[in-house]
Amino acid sequence: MDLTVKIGSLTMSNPVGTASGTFGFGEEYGELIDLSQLGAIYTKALTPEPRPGNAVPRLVETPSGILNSIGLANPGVDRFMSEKVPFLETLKTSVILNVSGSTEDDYRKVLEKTDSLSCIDGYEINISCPNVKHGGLAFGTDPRQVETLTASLRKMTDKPLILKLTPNVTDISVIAKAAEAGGADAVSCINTVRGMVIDTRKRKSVIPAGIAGLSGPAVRPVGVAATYTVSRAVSIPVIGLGGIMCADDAIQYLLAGASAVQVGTGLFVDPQLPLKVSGGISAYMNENGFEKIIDFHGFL
Amino acid sequence: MKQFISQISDLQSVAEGYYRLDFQWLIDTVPRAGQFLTIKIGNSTSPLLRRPFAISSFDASTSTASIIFQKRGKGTELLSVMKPGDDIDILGPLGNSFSRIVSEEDESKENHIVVAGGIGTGPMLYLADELKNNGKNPLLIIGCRTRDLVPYSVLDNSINTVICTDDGSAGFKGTVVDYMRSNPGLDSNSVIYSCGPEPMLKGCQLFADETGKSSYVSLEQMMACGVGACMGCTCETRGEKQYARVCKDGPVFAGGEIKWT
Repeated sequence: MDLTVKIGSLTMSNPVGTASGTFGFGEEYGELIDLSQLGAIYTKALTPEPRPGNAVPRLVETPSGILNSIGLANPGVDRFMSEKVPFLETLKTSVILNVSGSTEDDYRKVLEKTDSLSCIDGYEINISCPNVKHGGLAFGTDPRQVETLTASLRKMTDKPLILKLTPNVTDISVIAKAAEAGGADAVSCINTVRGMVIDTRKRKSVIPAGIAGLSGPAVRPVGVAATYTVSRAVSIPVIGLGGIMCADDAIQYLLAGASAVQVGTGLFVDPQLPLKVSGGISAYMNENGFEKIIDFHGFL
Repeated sequence: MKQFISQISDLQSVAEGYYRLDFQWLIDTVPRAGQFLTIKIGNSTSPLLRRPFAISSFDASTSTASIIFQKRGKGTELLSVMKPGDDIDILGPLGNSFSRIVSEEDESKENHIVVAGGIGTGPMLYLADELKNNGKNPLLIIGCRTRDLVPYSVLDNSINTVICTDDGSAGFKGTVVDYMRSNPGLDSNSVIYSCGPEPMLKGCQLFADETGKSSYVSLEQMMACGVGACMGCTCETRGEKQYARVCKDGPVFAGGEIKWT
């Protein structure tokens, strides 16, 4: 049985990774999970400058989910190089650096400084953030911006380029096609779903930023549907995520057309979850006579 | 820190809506006062996240750890009806501790005032116990709204304890800060440690600043990962850092570090 997954030039040892924003830069969970068993670590989003993040509270639990507005809190690329890279260099696991920005130039700056690092095996581009040069419209909601940004970054790196899609659009397949046209090696879907919780006593949003991002099992059917739609629209691999809490959830994503998956919010409940999910996937393959991950495809 | 499945050895109500839960501590790392753990309550996705609880006591001879919790949501409601022998999924010990944050100078001071409010009582009972075991004579001040909320059954008679109630139904009538203000005998060679609602922590910090005392606080915040990865549980700090992670950089901070709202 072969659990490996190919994304561009990269071969991951298995399809299960940790979703960006939930796993820091890997070190924080090092005592709780065998990092070498992960298919990939998708890091916390990195921007050129440090970002302190949003006002608190940044989190609130919702029915079978959590709503967050962290605000891309991260140390910035320079401190990433000095503080996080030495640890990442010790890992054998594939490391996908998640990159975020407010302008095209922001993304370019991060790639410029990190592309030569051997510990970075690929990039996941977070396009759910507002482009300040386009009136704050999120990059990921406009196919032209997505294609331009992808093409611009494609010229800078030979490493796998994964565009992380937002579900907060009318037709996600249009955005996925734009990423493919720009030269992306894969797309991951979905980022968090827009949501809001209001404190009726104080009569204001619980999260000061107002609208925030919903994740967890509540959004899983949204993620599976997006994966199903996108995998039919593009020929590059799709990485599915959103609310995976057990192997069966991940198998839904694979059957929907994903070639790999990410575990995010579920890590907060059980830090061992990614390993349980990959174990469950391999048991399912065994029971059903599947040889490769691609054997999950074509049933729906 | 480790994740382990333990069994509940005892679960008792200690005041109205407050419970003490004892369980076997199955790992070698000894939890210190100020540290916390998270518990996955039930197997459903609602409640979803693990719930954080500060450790309220640790008995090394029997490897028994305890937490004190208040029933105030679905998670703690489910926890309150669990039974001895039931499995619980523990992740801990998490966070720093008073012993790691308190300066040597403050540690060597004569007077140690341990202030607890409401749900902040658990970790402060443990801190008072730690200080006593280190040869200090701590003063424990517990603030509650009313007598029914005072956890009398878990108090240690050998620790000098003052109860303050807002309505005067037990002990001193007034807040913990009112009590400290009315006792000028608490000289400046004192350290104040506090855990409880934010207005109380802020009050303790202001009092410490006004009277030249050192102050340390243990904070509570909504948490997701508990291990410093998600940046969800931050608090605002003074100076360059701006935000610190309550779960990893805290929950214990020098009071002067926190930017109070």
